[in-house]
Amino acid sequence: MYSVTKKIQMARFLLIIIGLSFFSFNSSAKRMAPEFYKSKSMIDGNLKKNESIFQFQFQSLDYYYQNQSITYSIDGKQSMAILDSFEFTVRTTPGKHIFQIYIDDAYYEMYSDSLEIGSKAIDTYYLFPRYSIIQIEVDKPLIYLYPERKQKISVEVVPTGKMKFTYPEMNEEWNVIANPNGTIEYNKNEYNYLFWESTQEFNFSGFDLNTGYVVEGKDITDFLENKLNDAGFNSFEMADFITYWGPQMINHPHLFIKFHQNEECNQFARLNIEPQPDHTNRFYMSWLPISSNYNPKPQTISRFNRSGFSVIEWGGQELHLQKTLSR
Amino acid sequence: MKTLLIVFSTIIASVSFANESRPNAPDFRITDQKMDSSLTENETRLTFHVNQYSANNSRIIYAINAIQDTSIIDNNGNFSIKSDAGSKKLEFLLGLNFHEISTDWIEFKAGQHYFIVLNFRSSIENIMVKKPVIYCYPEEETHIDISLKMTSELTFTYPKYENGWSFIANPNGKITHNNQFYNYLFWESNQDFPMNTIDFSRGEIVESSELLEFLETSLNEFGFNSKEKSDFITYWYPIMKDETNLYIYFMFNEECNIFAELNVQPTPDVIARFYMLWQPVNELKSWKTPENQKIPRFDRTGFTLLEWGGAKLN
Repeated sequence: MYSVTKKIQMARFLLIIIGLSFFSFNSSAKRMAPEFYKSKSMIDGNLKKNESIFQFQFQSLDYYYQNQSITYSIDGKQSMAILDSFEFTVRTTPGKHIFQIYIDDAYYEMYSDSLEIGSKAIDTYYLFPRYSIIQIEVDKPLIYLYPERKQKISVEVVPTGKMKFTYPEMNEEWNVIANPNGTIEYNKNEYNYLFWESTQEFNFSGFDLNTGYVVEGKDITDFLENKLNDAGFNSFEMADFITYWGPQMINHPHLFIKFHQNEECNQFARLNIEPQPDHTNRFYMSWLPISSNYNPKPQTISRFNRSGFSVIEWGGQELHLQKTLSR
Repeated sequence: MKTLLIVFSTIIASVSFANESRPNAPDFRITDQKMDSSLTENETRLTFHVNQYSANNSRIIYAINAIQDTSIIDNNGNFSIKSDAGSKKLEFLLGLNFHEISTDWIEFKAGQHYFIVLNFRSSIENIMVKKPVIYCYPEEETHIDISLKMTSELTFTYPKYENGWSFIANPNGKITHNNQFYNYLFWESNQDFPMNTIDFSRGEIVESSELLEFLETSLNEFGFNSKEKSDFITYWYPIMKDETNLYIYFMFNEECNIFAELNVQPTPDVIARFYMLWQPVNELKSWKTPENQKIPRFDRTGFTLLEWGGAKLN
């Protein structure tokens, strides 16, 4: 809730600023909204004549960024700052200064215009970073089919991005015979699942880091068993999931984990299954290694409905919030 | 030219001696050369110093122009051989934990005593032995105990390995462990692996476009069924497929004891193990075409256990 209201507030605020920007950024007409917005300026008598302070306040960052370090440069000179209450300050001299601010891969690097500051002044700027687009791999979605009786089923996966690999090979779609025990017959071979993998663009704008879980890598097996049990995985499916993801996650001190279920998974791919299953249960996990612990709001996990002809699909993606500065 | 080489290698030697780790020291270098009046007009003497302390008092295999012999390295790390003079190509092998040293043609003059330092490189590499999974197919519902014997630490197991796995297996492969059902047992470990285990003259260099077919064929030949095959391929292929060319070396059955020995009670009639070691090949030119490995086929008669795993080499 926190971030939703916060995002709404931000949106309202942006509207005001867009109005403002008509005047103040007439010259750079292409910019929709400024990333740097000067909110106030005051004089601090305690400062020396040749001193002034920029105070930068991020307006839209998730809890995750509390106490994270960011990289910035003033007039081309690079420094680091820790975000205390989403703020940081830069002490400098009166005059004009140009800033660049880099948070991490989730956001584009921010460039300021030339910001002028007076002697003994403390100027406060609101910062509105823009989400960047990152490339992710949607890894190992497996599809299990559980019809009520042995029957022909066609399964088509339409990935949002580009398909990288399917197994057994999918030509347009998989035309299989599925059995109630889950065994899939395809080209005279038997399988437990259908496999696909894709690569796609991903943007953190819809990804709320305030809701989810923070887990220590060493506890990953217990955590996943717990959540997958809640979701209604059986032990075969759970073993496929845990033996795939667990080894990749166990060595990280802290992980942020977020699950996506059912329709939410359409952001990765659409499934077209004929005949129509009674219940298509999808379960995806996004995760990223993080450097510090915090307490996001836990998610509500809805339980698979396995009645009638049911389909289970699981997949996931490791997200990278690395700080890979281009320069 | 030769003298120049000797002078040059002496300089390298003196520099690299200062550096304890000697990461870039040459494997073979002549550090000194003296007249030896005890030699006949036809003979040359070679005294070697082996830099690896652990090699003291152990046997070394060497070959001069492909004629093999052995010697014992003394307490001080030295051994000496007498040979006829002339152009020689030397090879040295100091057990499995070190890479072999082989030289180009070197001219050894008669009546001369050469002092040579051998610097063996460790062939031990740290590898992640990934995703060995074990399938069990007893003839009837059977209680089975499996333990892994290895020196390395297990990094991940599923279901949890607690001094072993104790479970009930069915002929169709279903495993019941702590009231849960599984198709396989999973373990993973981080190991120090002697690269000399791999005979790089054998194996296969595979282009990415042919990789899937190569894996399918190899797994079919070994006797994987389609479910086991899809577990293997959906695990390894996505990791490997982005490499342009790959070197692939398989290890089979008892050879896989180097990763872990399997203690299985009751003893299966057939224990089939299939490990794949692979690495990207960047410059094809530098690789001689390896000889194909013959893939043995395992027999699914009686109580059968299949395990597959693998590792990417650095």
